[in-house]
Amino acid sequence: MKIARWSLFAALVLLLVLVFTTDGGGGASDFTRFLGRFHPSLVHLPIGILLLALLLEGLMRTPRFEAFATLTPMVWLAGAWSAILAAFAGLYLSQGGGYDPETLVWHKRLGVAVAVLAVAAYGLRNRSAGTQRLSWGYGALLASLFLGVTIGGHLGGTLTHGEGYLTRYMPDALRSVAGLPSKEDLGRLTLEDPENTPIYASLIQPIFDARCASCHNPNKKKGGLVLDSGEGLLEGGDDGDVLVAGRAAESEVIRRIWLPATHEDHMPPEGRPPLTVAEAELLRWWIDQGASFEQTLAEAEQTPAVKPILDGYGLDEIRTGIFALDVPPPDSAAVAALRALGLGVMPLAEQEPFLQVRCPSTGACLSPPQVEALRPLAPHIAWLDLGRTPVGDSALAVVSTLPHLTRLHLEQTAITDAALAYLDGLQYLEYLNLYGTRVSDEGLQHLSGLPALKALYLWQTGVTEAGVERLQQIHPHLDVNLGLTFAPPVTPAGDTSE
Amino acid sequence: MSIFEEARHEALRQVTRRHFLQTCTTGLGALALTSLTGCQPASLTPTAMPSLRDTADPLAARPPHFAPKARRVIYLHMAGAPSQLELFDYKPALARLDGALCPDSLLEGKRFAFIKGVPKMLGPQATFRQHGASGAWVSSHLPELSTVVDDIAFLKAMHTDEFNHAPAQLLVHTGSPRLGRPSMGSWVTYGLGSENANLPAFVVLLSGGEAPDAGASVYGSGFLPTVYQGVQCRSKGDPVLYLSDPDGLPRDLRRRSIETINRINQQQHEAVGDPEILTRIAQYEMAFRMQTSVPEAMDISREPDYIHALYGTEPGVTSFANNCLLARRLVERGVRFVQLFHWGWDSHGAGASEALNIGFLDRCKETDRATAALLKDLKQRGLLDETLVVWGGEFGRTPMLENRTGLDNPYVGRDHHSDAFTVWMAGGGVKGGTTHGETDDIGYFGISGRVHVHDLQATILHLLGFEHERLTYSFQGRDFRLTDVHGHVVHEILS
Repeated sequence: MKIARWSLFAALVLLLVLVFTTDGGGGASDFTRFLGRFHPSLVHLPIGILLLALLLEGLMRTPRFEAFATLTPMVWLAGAWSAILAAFAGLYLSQGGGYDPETLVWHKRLGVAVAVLAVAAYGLRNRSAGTQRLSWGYGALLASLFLGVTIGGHLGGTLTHGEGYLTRYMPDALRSVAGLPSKEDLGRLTLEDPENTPIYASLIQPIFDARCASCHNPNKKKGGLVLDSGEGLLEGGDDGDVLVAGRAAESEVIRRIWLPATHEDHMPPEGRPPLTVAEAELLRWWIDQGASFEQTLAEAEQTPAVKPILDGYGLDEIRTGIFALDVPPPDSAAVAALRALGLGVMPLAEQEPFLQVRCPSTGACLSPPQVEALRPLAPHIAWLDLGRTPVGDSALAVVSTLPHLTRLHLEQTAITDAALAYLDGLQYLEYLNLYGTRVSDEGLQHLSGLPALKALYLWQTGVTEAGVERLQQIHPHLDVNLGLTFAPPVTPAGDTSE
Repeated sequence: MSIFEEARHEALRQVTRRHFLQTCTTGLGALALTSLTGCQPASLTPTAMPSLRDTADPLAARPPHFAPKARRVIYLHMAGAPSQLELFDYKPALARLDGALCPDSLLEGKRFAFIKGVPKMLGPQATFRQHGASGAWVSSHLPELSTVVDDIAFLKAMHTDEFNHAPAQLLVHTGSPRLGRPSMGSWVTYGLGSENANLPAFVVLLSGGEAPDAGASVYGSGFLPTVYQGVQCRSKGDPVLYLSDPDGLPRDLRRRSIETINRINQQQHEAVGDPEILTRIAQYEMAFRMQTSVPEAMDISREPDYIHALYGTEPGVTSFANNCLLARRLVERGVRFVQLFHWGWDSHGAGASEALNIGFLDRCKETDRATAALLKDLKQRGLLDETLVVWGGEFGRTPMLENRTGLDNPYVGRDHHSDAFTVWMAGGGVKGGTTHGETDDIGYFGISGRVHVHDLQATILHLLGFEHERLTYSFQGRDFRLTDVHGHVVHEILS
């Protein structure tokens, strides 16, 4: 036992000498680098063995596990040796460079402290063999050993995997307990203060860190390219520059990301998760804006392509149109009241606050009590289906009070041009079906103020080609369908609205 | 203690407070932990658990998972597998190889349905031109469809796992080549319900002379409640078999007898609680309503003459054109899923009706005009925006000539081919005027944009507003879904 004790002590002294004489970085030879690479596998041994030793210390003081007292010194010895060897390897690994200096310093200090404490624990354990009670000094030693192992180990994980590794996928319920922002808010917090949000540091570098840095970092340098910092990005790689400021189309980094996934030059390579469309768009936008490292979000110009991405940053999906609005869920009593009056009401989708309303094919449509019942639900109605119902011009007045209407069916009803006046001001209307009605070119004038209109159906109406032409000049992207020309315009039986 | 006393002692112990607090609280705590961490599986939400649904009306309209683009589907299935090389997939390189012996590399390790030995290559038996603003390639056999290609998205590199008709049709429509699974229409009506309570939600129309090889299972409800089964309507004679009252039975008497039957069923339901009884009550009531609504919906003679001219319909006969017009009428009236099967595309070349130069041309003539008319008619009524139209077969055909007998054969044909075929989709949120996927120079294998039939199913469900992985039904101890354990949505063709 004497040799064992003295050799352990000597090893610890050697470790401390090395720690205080080398200053980490420089003087690393290939051989020491090779040894250093064993640190990730070696370091788990002292973690496990020392925690086991702490457990045994606790257990052996209970009457049931007294027998463990004979085992404990050996475990402490193994723990101390493995801690020293792991610390040596860690020292050599740190000389290779490429680790965040602040975290490294603390990890190093804690690792060496653990080695010292482990030797001390072994030494004191031997001396106080047989004691049942835990003395205060020894207890303090064990407690600080525990803290050293856990905190030091956590910092080691941070060095390898980056900050936030543990909490990245934490469920929201635990996040609130831990005082962390919810996943949705994380993205929002980044962008809440555009004046102080540097685009590169907050938006762009995280993309490189998440998708590229596992192969393009100082330790791995695939293709001679380092992407974990701005300098590396500007320097480029073996094949030249990867970034041409202001011209994303000529930048190699953009070219490779946007190649088809099966192309051999595509980055990230097969097996690694590709960039999302939002991330790739953000990169392209940043480079086109001049690839500045200091520019803040407030200073940059948000192009139409990138605006929805920034608006929805941090959220799982990009929502456009009415779905990007923050509308509370509809009042279920109002919905029930509307249903009781005979209208078909259903949400657009399970979690959406928007509703689709349909008039039944028989019975009253948009009678005064129904209009009254629609009033509280006005901001929620997105689709309104009044096709083949007896509605007339006057009943359409309610449509002007529906701000979020996107689809309106009025086919084969008795409406005329006067009804179209009520549609003016519907910001989000995309689809309007007027086939089989008595609208004419005059009524089309009211449709010029609909910015979102995409599809207009005018078969069997009084609208002529000339009228459509005029409308297309105002709305070049509108798709107007006049139907097949041999169908004669409809002659309705009569206006049955009140 | 004797063993009986011990057993009694054990049983008594289990009703003590000590036992409850010691043993049961662990389970309660675990349950609480589940809800606390938000780990509840999606299948516990009411939309997936059928018993929590409103079983009094299983076809009540229901919202999908997210806001949909399409609200209805018309599926035009060309049973027998139409030859993509003569319709949409233009391969000039194949023309140069016409008559050459097939190279071994294409035959190695492959099993064909009928081809044996080394077949010869067969060049395209049609001339191709580009049409529309999108420049889509369509053959001379489909002149009418060429005029509407700007609304169509072609999937040219479809592939499947089966090379025979029945299993392949089952794979396309039910997601598995074996019998017993619900069809696409059943899944869709299970998920969305029906917009019209007076008509069946899932209607099937057959033409071409025979039913599809897989039989009624391609539109069956599998393990879903039978209320979601496809109702086969006929375009000739009684639209639904046994729909009209027998001679001498007044309608009022029919209504009263159905009411009485339902009252008896209701009593049984109160005693036993079987949800299928409620389904049966709902079906009786629906059948009664259908007696008036279905004949009206299925009566194409009411359509104006120019519509008949557009489709090429002939009232009173069973034809694909009649079925297309019926499909439009049904969709106008809120039917959720209309499935058309047209039989006879199996162009092996073993006879005149199977020849690419004779029978195949007849099939094209029978369907071309009506398909184009359907798209045009849906579009002018503003229905194409909300209705997804899908056209396709169950697999494709080989670039090689199939000559079963080996002797001089005046008829040309191709064998079954599962690795490359064409399906197109139009309307309902699909980007028109696009082509996704490409096959190699001879049309043997897809080289880019390969889409499996499961991916097609996932895309259809996506357009209807469903995450295909969440539309499930619990059966035999696990959650089943249409796409089984596969399926990726093809986002490239979505607008």
